[in-house]
Parts: sequence; structure tokens; C-alpha cells
Amino acid sequence: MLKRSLLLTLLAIFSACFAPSIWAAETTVTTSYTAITAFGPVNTLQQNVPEGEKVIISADGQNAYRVKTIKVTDEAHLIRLMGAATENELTDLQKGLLETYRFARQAEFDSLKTRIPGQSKTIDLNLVDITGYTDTSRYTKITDDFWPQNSRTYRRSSDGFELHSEIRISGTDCLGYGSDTARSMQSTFAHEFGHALDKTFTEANAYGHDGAHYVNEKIEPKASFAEGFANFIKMLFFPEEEKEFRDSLKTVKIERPQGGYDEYPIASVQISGEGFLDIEAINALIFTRLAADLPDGQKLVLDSFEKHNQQENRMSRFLQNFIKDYPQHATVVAQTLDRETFGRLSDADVRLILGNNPDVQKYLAARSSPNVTPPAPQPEEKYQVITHKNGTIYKWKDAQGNWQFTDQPPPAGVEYTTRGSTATPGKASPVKIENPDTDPFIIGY
Amino acid sequence: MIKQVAGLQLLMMLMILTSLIHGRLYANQFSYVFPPNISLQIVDQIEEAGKIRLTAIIESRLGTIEDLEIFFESSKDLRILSNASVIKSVPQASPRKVKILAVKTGQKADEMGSWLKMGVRFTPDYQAIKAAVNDKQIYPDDFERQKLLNVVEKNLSENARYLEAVRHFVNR
Repeated sequence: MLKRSLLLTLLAIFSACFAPSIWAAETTVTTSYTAITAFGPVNTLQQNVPEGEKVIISADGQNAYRVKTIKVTDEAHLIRLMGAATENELTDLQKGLLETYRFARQAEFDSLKTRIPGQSKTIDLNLVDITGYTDTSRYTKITDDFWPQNSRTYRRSSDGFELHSEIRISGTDCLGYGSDTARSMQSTFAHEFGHALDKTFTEANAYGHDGAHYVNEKIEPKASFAEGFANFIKMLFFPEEEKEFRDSLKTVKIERPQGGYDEYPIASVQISGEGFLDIEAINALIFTRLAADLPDGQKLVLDSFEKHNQQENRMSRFLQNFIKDYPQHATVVAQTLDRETFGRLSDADVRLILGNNPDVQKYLAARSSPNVTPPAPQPEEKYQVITHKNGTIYKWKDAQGNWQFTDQPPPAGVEYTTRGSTATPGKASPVKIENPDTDPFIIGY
Repeated sequence: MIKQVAGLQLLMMLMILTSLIHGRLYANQFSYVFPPNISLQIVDQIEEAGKIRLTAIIESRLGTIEDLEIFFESSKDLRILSNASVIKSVPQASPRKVKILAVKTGQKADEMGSWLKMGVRFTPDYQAIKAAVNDKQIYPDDFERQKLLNVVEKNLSENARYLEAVRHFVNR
């Protein structure tokens, strides 16, 4: 009896440690479909749960969902599971689930699938059908409860960590998108798939108080790198979204430790040096432009990323490795970094980020030469502060055209700029307004 | 000997457990979602003599939704006797009730169990959507709000019809 149980234990260890190598040849996305079969108070739903179903407790803590999950065998099977005879009877979100299923199987993904780190190259795609629960005024936590995500498990193996991704797509981020629903859900999948390629282990509390992030929010370096890379993968399939990322960078959001955001022009003193690389949209654009501007750039970016992929990924490290891998492209890397950070990096910042490369040095020397066109000037910016923060100073012109500096916002409709009295930790120091006309804070007003 | 083996087993199980760690979840990418256009509910299930009677409630949540085409689907063990129908419009705060009658067919339910579904294809009130999204109190972020407005304009230019449904699982 003891021998038998010991044998079983050893078998379990063997499975846990070596099974991935057995699957090594497979590169697959396995898909499951989940439907909500009931919603109600937790206590009620936890009683007599039908076989094959499970209970998910809502973020409100009071209610729960019963859900049933079934592995999808093919497209026709998925349509049947969604309760339709043909595609025409699918809801907008269900069409999105079907299109995501198709999208995940298209040939363009195959070359990316081989880049999934570790020996086990499987990804679980869970399509969650929230049909009947899209009324957010009644099901107030439905978006929180089923927001799309990539939940990952690391498994220790002989050569480090195995990474296993489970991507959940539900369409809760595309409610009410009508005919644009399916495209948006595919785009979300591409982003989450990008995370599946990436070993970055993001910082604790990387996303700030609310745990969410805007594309133009300053977050922690590893998190902004990971999100930027995921957005880059998305833009490989949806290049038209590059414009959206550029448009978002008119301002940058900084979350306060206690919650809420302040918003500043990208060129403000709130962001400097490597701090620009803490914004995921900037990282996404650096990846995207390198891939687009260099010959065979997409392959070069992906190869270099894969080669150096590790838990401590961040953009400066990626760029230094990229230059080591492809020294002939150092100038383009420097140009790209310079352009995507709006020409705001000093020579020292660029050297710190890219390392001491002769071509980088040449680029820096050329950009400061009067014969060379400097980086494009900043477009005119407007300040907007989402909510008032104590200690904020507002600069605005009154009806007579005189500059006013106040600690309260100006009358509604009056354009203004602001400066917080406190600095972003570790980045910028408080600056007193000595002379409003020469204040470096006043940029492009 | 027994203690030694049990201890070894415990140790090995601990090794397995500690070899699996959950990676930190990536956080939610912030994006606004539209306010709901429509609310669909199925209530009051009454079962008698092989028949199932239900009431569906259709409500507009935003302005007046128009040209509603209502249709039904069910698992193989049920047949819905109610006909597909059309409703010209449903204004906000004027819910409409739809009676549904289904009978058991004697066949087995499918993988998802025993269920029936009411689908509604409709034209949303685009002007009401635009007005709602333009509310800067609810959608304060200019960039994210504009993304929603772009989606509305695209749907409006295509005169896109929306399709929502509610699925009722029987005996729950």
C-alpha cells in the first residue's frame, strides 16, 4: 500500500516536472467556451450546483454566477454551444467570440506561436459568453467580473520557469460596440496573446492605486514594457491603431497614490529621462517603428525580444540588447527613441538608455549640430487636470489678458495650465515659480 | 518506516506545490464602455404537463430603440411555440412583455443543458447614445470618450443593427 502511494507520488512529480517536454512539439491554442447559466445571491447559487458547473463570486461579494465550461472542438461546435443554428443568430458579442476563435487560428499567428517561451507552447483561450448579462445597470459588476485578461502560471523547470497562459475574452470591454464589436475583441485577443509571449514579471503595485492602466499612463518600468510589447503585437494585426496611440500621447496621466489622476502635457517636467519609457504607448510605438522602419524589422524585433526574454525585461534593456544584436541599426534605434520621446531626452539620457555605442554617439553629435535638423518641435499642448488636487497651481489668462496664478481652477471654459506642488517620486523635484515668464514649466502654451 | 514514507510524500507534494506559482496578472487596460441600450430578462418560469411558460421583458435603457425583430432558439429537448415577432419601437421606461410557450420534445438536452433563448435585433437610439457619451461627468477623459464617439459614428454611418439576447436555462 505504501509502495503504491509512493509510486503515485513519484508519478505526480514526474508529470509536473517532465510533462511539458512531452508536449514540446505542439504549438496550439486550446479553446473552451463558458456560458453563464444563472446569477443570484451567493448562498443560493452555492447550493445544489449542477454537475459540470461551478460558481464564480462577483466582485460585489453578494452575488455569484453559475458557469458551465466546455472544450470547443470546431467552429460549428462553438456556434451550437452559443445557442444558435447559424452565425446570423449570434449576438454582437457572440459574433466577437466566434471571430476571435477564427482569428486565433489564422496563419499569421503560427509564426508567433513558436515564440511562446518555454517548452510547453500551449495557450488556453477561454471564450466567456455573457449573453443576457450585458445590462450594466442591472449586473453592475459584470465588466469587473469578466474583463479580458491573460492569467499566467509560472512553473519552475530545469531551465528556469515555464510559462502557461490562459487568455479570457468576453467582450466586456466592447459593450455596445455594435458592428465594431468583433474587430475590437480580436484586437483585445492580440494584445493578450502578446502577454503570452512575454516573461516579464511586473512590479508589485505596478499599475497604481486603481490597478488599471491607460495607454498614456506613467506606470512602473517593467509593466509599461510588458504592456507596450502587448500593444506592439496588437498593432502587427491592427496597424491602424498606431494613430490612436500617437493621439493618446498629447498628454500623460499620473495616478496619485490615493487614487485619481493628474494629466500633463507629455513634455512637462513631470516626465524626464528614462521616465518616458514608463509610458506603455511610447514603448509600443518604439517597438512598432523599429519593426516598420528597419529592413525585416518585425523579425529583428521579435528575434531580439525572444533571445533576451526574461522576468526583468524593460525597454532600456531591450534597446541595449537590440543594438548588441544588430549594431548596424544603432542609429535607427537612437532616432526612433529620440523621436518617440519627443526629442525630450538629453544626450546623457540617451546614453544611459542605449549604452555607449559609437553610432549612438555620432547620432547625438549630429542632432546637436546646427547643420542638422533637430527633432521636430512639440505641437502646441493644452493642459487638462481631470480633478483638482490640493496644492496644484493654475496658470490662466483672465478676460483682460492678464496672467493669473491661483490655487483653485479658473472659471469653467478658461484654458489653463497647472503644476502640482509635489513631485513624482524619484523623478522630478518641486519647482517654485520664480518668474512666470521664464518658468520652464510653461511649455507650448 | 511508515512515518518516513509519509514524510517523504509530504515533502514531495510540497515540492510540487512550490514549483507552481502564479504570475502577476497584467492589469486591466482602461477603456470606457457604452451605457446599455437594452435590457432583456426572462422571468416567471411555470412548468406544467410538459409545457413551460415564461415571460420575457424587453426594456430600452437609452432613448427609443426601434424595429425590434424577436426570435427564439432552444435546446433539442424543447420546442418553442411562440412565433418570431416584430415591435416597431420601445421607448425608455416603457417595458414590453413577451409570453413564451415551450413544450418538451422528449429528446435529450444538449451539452449546455436545457435552455431557451430570445434574440432581439434592433436599431439603437444613436442620438441618445451620443448624448450619453458626451456627458463629461460620466466620461471625463477626452481621448477615451472620443474613441467611443468614433464607434458610434461608424455604426451610425452604417446604420448598424445591434443584436442582443437572453438565454434561460431551465430548472435552476
